[in-house]
Amino acid sequence: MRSAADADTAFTLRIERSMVALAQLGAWLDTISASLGLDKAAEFALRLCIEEAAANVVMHGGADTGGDPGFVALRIEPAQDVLRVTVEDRCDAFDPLHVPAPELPTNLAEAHVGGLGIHLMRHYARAISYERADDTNRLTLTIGRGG
Amino acid sequence: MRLETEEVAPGVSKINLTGRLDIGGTQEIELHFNALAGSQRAIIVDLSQVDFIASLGLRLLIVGARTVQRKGGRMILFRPPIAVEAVLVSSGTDNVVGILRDLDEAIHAVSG
Repeated sequence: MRSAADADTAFTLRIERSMVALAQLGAWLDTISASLGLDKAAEFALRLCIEEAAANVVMHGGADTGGDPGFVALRIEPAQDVLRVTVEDRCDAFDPLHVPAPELPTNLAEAHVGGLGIHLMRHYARAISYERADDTNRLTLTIGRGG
Repeated sequence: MRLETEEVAPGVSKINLTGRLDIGGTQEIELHFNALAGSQRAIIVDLSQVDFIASLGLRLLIVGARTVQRKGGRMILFRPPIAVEAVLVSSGTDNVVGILRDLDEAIHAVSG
């Protein structure tokens, strides 16, 4: 059962832009998933979208205007049927939605091992939007809550 | 994330992964996994107990498979759960690293 209080509860996490910090996401998402009683499909989609979005900022975000190493700020806001996820950073302006879809690999020797994150997020999120304001990149993802 | 190995046929290693191939899980096993890919020529990666994968985990598998291939060997993926297989397919990983569900078939595939 979803409680009415869900709509008022947002989960936030601010992590340093580092691979070590990204490893914290798993446990954070465990807590949120249990708290919201997400079904497996919704949990999978949430985990994938958060990981890919945060990893993109850490691995490809470029310079951070707020100082080194900078941060990634995550917010998950549950609504009745969806989760609204916001990922913010103060790196160089970068709209991931303008990244062309990757060519999927056809042979192992030439398979690219990067660039799949955006592609996968598009697959698992119902909607994605990007805006740049106040020197901040803000990626917003809408994820189905299942059930 | 847990990584265990077993020899399922002469010269054929099965790497049994348990847990999530998320960023943290991938970091936990990547050194061990890469060392196995660098030292073995016939590898079956058992994904049946893996309940999540994202692009860092995909990268681990693709780089590992490539490492094995460069030595003239072969690595294949074994029994991914449906949710994990969906990511393997969405990313095109299944185009370049074989997925099998029968152990004898998998042993035969990597032994060739």
